[in-house]
Amino acid sequence: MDYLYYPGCSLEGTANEYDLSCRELFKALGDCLTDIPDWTCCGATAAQCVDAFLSVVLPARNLALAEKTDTGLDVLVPCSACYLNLKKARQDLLENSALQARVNQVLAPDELAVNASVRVRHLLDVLSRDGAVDRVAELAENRMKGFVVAPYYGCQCLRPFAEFDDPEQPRSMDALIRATGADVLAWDMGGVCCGASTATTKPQVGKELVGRILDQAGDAHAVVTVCPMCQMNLERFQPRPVPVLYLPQFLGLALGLSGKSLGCDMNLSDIKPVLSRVAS
Amino acid sequence: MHLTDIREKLAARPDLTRHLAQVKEQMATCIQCGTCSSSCPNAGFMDMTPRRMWRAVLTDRVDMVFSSQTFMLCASCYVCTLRCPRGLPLTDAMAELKQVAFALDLDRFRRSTRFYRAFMDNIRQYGRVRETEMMARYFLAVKDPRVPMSYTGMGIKLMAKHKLHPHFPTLGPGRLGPLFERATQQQEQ
Amino acid sequence: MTDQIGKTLVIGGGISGIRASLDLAQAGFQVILMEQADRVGGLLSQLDTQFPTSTCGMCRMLPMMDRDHVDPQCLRRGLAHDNIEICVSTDLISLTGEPGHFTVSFIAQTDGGRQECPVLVVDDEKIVRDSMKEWLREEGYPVQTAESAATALELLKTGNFKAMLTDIKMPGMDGVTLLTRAKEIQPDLAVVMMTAYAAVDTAVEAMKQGALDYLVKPFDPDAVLLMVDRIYKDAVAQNARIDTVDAVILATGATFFHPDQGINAYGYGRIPGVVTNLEFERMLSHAGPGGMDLTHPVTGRPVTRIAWFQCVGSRDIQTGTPFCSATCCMISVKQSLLAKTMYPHVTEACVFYMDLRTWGKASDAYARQAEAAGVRFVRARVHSLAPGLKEPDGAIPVVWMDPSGERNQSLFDLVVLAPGQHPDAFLTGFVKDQELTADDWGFVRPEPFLPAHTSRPGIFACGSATGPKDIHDSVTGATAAALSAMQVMAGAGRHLVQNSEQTESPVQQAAGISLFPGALVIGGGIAGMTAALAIADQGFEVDLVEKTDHLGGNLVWLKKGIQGADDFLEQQMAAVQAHDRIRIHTRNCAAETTGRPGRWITRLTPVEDAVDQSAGVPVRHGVVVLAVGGVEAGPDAPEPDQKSGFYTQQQFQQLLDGNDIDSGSPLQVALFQCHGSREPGREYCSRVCCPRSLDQAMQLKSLNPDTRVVIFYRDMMTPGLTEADYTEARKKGVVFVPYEPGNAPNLAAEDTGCKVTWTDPILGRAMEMDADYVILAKGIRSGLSKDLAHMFEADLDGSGFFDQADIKWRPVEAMDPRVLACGICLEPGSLALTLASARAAAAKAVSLLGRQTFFPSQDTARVRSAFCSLCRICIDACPFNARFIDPETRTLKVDPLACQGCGICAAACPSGAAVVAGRSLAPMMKTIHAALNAPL
Repeated sequence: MDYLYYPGCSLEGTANEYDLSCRELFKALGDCLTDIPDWTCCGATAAQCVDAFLSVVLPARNLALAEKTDTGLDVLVPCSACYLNLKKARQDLLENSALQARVNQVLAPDELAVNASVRVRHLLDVLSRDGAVDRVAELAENRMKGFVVAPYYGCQCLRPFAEFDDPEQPRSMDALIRATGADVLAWDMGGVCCGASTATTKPQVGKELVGRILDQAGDAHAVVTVCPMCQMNLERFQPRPVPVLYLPQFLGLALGLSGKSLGCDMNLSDIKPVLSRVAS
Repeated sequence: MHLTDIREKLAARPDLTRHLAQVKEQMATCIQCGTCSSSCPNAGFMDMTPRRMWRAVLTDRVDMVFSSQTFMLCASCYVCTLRCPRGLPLTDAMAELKQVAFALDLDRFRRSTRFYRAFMDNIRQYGRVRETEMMARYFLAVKDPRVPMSYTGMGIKLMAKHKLHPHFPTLGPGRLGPLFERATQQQEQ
Repeated sequence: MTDQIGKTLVIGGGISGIRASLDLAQAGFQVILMEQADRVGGLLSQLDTQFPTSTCGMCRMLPMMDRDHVDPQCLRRGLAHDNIEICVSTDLISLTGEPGHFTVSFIAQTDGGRQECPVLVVDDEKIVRDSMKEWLREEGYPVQTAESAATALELLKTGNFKAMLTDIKMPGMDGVTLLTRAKEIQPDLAVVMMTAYAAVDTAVEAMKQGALDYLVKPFDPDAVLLMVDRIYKDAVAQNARIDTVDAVILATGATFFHPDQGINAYGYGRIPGVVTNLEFERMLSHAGPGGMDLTHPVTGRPVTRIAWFQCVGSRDIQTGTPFCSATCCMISVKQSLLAKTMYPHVTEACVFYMDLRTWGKASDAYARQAEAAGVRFVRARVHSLAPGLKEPDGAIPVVWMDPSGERNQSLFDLVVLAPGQHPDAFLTGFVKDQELTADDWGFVRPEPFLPAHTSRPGIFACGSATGPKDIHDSVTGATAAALSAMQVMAGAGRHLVQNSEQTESPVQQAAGISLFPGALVIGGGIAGMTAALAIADQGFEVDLVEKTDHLGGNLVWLKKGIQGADDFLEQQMAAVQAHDRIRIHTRNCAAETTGRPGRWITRLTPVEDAVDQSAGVPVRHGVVVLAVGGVEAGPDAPEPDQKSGFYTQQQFQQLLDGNDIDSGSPLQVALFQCHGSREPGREYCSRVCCPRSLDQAMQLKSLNPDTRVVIFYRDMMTPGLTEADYTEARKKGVVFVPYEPGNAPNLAAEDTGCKVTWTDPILGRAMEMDADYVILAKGIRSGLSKDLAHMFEADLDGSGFFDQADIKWRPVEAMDPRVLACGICLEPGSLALTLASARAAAAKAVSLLGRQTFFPSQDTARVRSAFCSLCRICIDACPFNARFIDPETRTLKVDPLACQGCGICAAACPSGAAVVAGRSLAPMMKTIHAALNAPL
C-alpha cells in the first residue's frame, strides 16, 4: 500500500536513522512513501504549552497540505509526538466546526484549506495492521532466530487514542518481532513513560525513569522503539549498555538490508552486538 | 515568587483568570481518588502530587498551583487521562496550566518557558526545527551557565554522529511568520 | 374469561423473582417463573453467607403458611410450590398484550432451543474468532469458526447454520462476496457483517445485498448476543409454547462487569492471585473448588495477605458506569471479616475504598465489627497493579497514595476485585422490545411514586433490573411488585387457586385458626396511607390511626423538595379519606390490645390533649401494620441556634422552600454530614441525609452560582443511581471535604454566623470559612416506641427501629407474620423505599387476610390433648408465642402461623403431650447418641 509520509523535524536531525530506516523498510516491503510537500513542524510539545490555537493551526497546515495532494492516501507518521499532534488536531477539527472555520481563515492566504478528511496513522499502526507481518515473515527467513527483543512503545502512540493497541498492555509489535524469528521479552514496561520532553529540561527525571525501564529489560538482546523522543532518552540515560534501535532498523536488518542504509552507524547506544549477530 | 505577585499578575490579566476558571470547570467532577497521582511516572519528582494540585485548582488556591512545578513536570504520557475514573482530560488540562504559566512569565518557570519560546521562535523562523540553533538560543535565554554545561556531553555525541547540522541563521519575518501573525490576530478577534 | 385463575409471568429466577413468585403463590395465584439459566437462585446460589448474620438465611423466605405445599428444602438448591410452574433454561420469545391479557411465547433451550441455532463466525483474526466463540457458547449456541471465506463456504455446504457473522475485510475473498455466495448455498441464512468503524458504508451496502444487519468493531459481547438472540428467536418462533397471563414481573437482575474488559488495569486473568469477589466467595465456600481451604491459586500455600479493591467497573466513567453498584462495599466488608475471623493464617485483610457505603441500618455497625476484628480500611483508589515489579512466591505489590500524597506499598497474596454491575443483554433487549422507559444507563426507570411500575401498564419490575440493589431492597421491591400484579389480577376479576380448606383433614381443620378480617394500620404518614389504601383496595377493612390531627407525616414538609410530591400527597389523602373501607382515627393512638395474634382487639384512645376524651374504640383486626414513622434526630447536647446560622436539614429545607434565603450576594454555606450519627449511640447511617444535602447544595448553587458551598462528609452515601447527583453537585462547584471521626471541622459560633475551620486532607492546609449557614445532617430517629411494639409481641432493634424477623429475607414483618411494619419506623430510607416497604407490607397483609383460616402443616407442633394437663410449661417455653389455651374448648392450641416447629415444646412437656413430626423421642435420642459416640 502507498502512504503520504510526514517525517517531522526530529527525523531530519537527531533521529535521522529513523527516517532512513523507515524509507528503506517500506521500499523493501514494496510500499511507496510520498513526502507531504513543504511540510512544517507540528508544534511538538511546545505549541500546546504556549498557545492552544497555534497548537491546532500548525498540524492543520500539514493536514491541509496532505489533503491538497488529492491522493486520498493515509498519512503515515513515524514520530509519536507528531502523530499525536496531527491526530488530535484532526479530531478537534472534526468535532468542532467553528474551530475548523477559524483555522481555515488563518490558512486561506496560503491557499490551503483543511477538512480533516485524511487519516493520520502511526508507523506501528500501519506495520501491524496493513499486512506487513506476513511480508516480513516471508522475507526475513527467521534471520533473527534466538534473538530476544524488548518492544518499547512509549506513550503517545498508545494514549490517549487507543487506536490500534491496548494502551495498558500493548502487543502490536509482538507479531512483527516474531515474524523475524526473534522472541519477544515478556515485560511490563512497554507502555511506561520515559520522561519524554520533560527529560530534556529535567535530566534527573529521565535518568530515573529510563533506569527503571531498562532494569527490566534484563534478558533482552535489544530494545526496539517507535518514537524519536523515547529513543533519545533510552539511549541517553542508560544505566548499563543496552542496544536500542528503531523498529524499522530492526526489521530492516531482519530483512537483510545493510546496516549502513538503515543508519545503524548513527545510533547513540552501542548496537554492534545486534549488527554482529545479523552478520554471523 | 511571592504569592501576592502571582495574584497581582493574574488580576492584570482577566483573560488568564477566565482561562483558569475554564480549567477549574473541566476538573469539577474530580473525586480526589488519587488515581492520577499514583499513576504518574513523574509524581516522585513533583513538589506536590497532581491530586493536590487539582485540589488547589478546585479550591481556588492559584498561589499554590503556580508556586509548584508540578504541571511543568507533566510529560504528556496520558496515563492519568487513560485511568481517571471520572474521565477528566487531565493531561490536556496540564498543558493549559502551562499556557497560563507561560503567559504569566513567572520567573520560577524560566527554564521551561525559555525552552518553549526558543522552540517556537525557531519554527516561526524556519518552519522546521533546527535543533542546534534552537538550543543555542535557549542557552542564551536562560542566562545560566550550568544549563548548557549539562547538555555538553550529549551535544558532542550528537555532533560525532553527524546529527547536528549548524545552519546560518537567517533574518526576516521567518518561514511561518505570517501564519503565526494571522493566528494571533484570529485569536484577538 | 373472568372465571380464570389469576396468573402472572415472573421473568428471572434470582431472589427477586423467587420472592415475587412465592408472594403471589402464597396469596393463591398461579405463577410461571421463567429463567434463562438452568437453575433458579441467581447470584445467591453462589453465596454461602450474607451480612449481618454471616450465614445464609435464604430459606427464611419460605412461606409461613401452606408449608406443606412448598418443598421445604434449601432455597439455594431449588424451589417448589404447587402454584409455581418453574421453567428453567427457557427463553422468552415474545410478549404482547395488556394488563389482564398478555400473550407470552417461550421455549425451553433443551427443546428446540439454542441448540438448534448453530452460528458460524468468520474472521481472519484469531482473537475475534475465539472471543466470539466463547461468548456465544456461554449462552448455549453451538458455534463453528472459519478463518477465511473459503473455509466458511465449505462449512456452509455441510452444516445447517442459522446465522453467520462475517468480517468484511479479509485476505482472499472478502465478506461481501462471501455473503453473496453463502446466500446462493442457503438463501434463508441470516448474515451479519462485522466491520471496523471506518468501513460502515460497506456494511450498509451489504445489507442491500441481503445481510440482516452489521456490528461495528470493537463490539461488546452484549451487542453480539442481542444480534444472535434476534436471529434465534425468529428461527424458533413457530416451536414456542404460548400461554396467557394477567401481569408480568421483570426480575432479571444485573450482570457483573468483567474486569478483563477494557484496559484491565488490575491484570485480571494475567496476574495469578487477582480474583473477583464472586470467585473469592467460592474459595470461602464449603462446596467451593478449594473445599474452604483458603490457598493461593498458584503456589497452593495458605493465603496470609488479602486486599479488596472497590469500584472496579463502577463509579467509573471510563467503563461506562458512572453509577455506584450499591452492594460491593458490604460484600467486601463481609468477605474481609469472614477471612479475618475464619482463617487464623490470614494476617492482613485490607479494603481499599473511596467511600465506604455502609448505608442502611445494620451495615455501619457491621463494618465497625470488621474493623474491630482487625480488617484495615484504606481510603485510596489503587489505579492498577504496578507493572515491572516481580516478587517471589507470587506476591502482588500494591501501590497506593494516601491523602497527603505519601506513596505506600504492600505485598498481598490475593487481590479481590469488587466488580460493579450493569444491565445485561436480556434486559437491554426487553426494554427495547417492550418500549419501556429506561434511565441513561439502561436500567428500567420506575414510574414516579410507584416503585414497581414500569412505563408499560401490567409490566412490573423489581430487583436490580431497576438499578443495582442489595438483597434487602430486592426482597422488599419484589413483594411490592407482587402487590402490583395482584392488583391487576383483582382488577381483571381473576380467581384464586381453590382454597386449600377442603383438602385438609378433619383433624387439621379442627386445629385451624382464623384471622379477624380487617387490618389495623398505625401511622397516617405516606407509608401508613399507602399500605391502608392497598389493603382496602383489595377488599379488606382498614382502621387507620394517626396521633396528630392530620395525615401526611413527614411528607408534609418534604413534599416541596420532591418533584410531584405535592400532588401525590394530595391524591393519596383524598383517596384515603374517600375510601369506604378505611376508617380514619386522627388524634388517636393504640392504647392496649387483647386477644390472640390474628384475633386482636385493640382499643384506640384519643391522645392526651385531644378535645374529645370519650372512651376508646375497640378495633378487631387480623393483621397490624406499624407505620409510625420517625423524626429528624435532635441534638444530643445543647447547640448554637439559628442566630449563629445553625440549622438542621429539616429547618433549612423549610427556609429554602419558603424562599427565605437572601442570596443576592454570594453566601458561604457549610453542610455537615453525619452530625451525631454513625457514632456510638446512633450507630447507623440514615441513608437520606447525603442525597438531601446534595439537593440543598444544588439549590443554593442555583440561587447564586457564586455561593461557596462546602460539604463535610465521612463517606458520601449515594448508592446506586444517586451517584449521578453527587457528580452533578461537583459539576456545579460544590466542594467536598472528607473528615474522620475525631477530626471533624471545628465550628465556632459567632454573633452572626459561624467560623468553620478545618484541614484539607489533600492540600494539607488549614482552611476556614465564615459561614452564613451551617446545616447539620443529623439523620433519622425511629418513632416506634417499645410499648407499641411489645403490644404486638414485636420488638425494637438496637437502634430503636422495628426488629425484623430477618433484615434481608423477611424485611417487613416480625417473627409473627401478622405483625408488619413499613416506612421509616422500619428503617431509614427515601420516599421510594418507604413506598416500596408500604406496598410490600400491604402485599403480606392482603395475602394473609385473603386466606383468613390457617391450618397446621406437618412441621407444626401438635397437642395430644388426652395427655395434656394444661400446666402451661410449654406456653412459657415457646419462644414464638405460638401456644395458647383456647378459652372456648379449654384445650391447648398451637398457632400454625407462629409455630416454627423447633421442638422446644416437645422437650419441655413433662407428659409427652407436645409433639413435633419427625422430632419424636426415640429417633432424637438415637441421633444424640450417635453424635456423642462419633469419633472426634
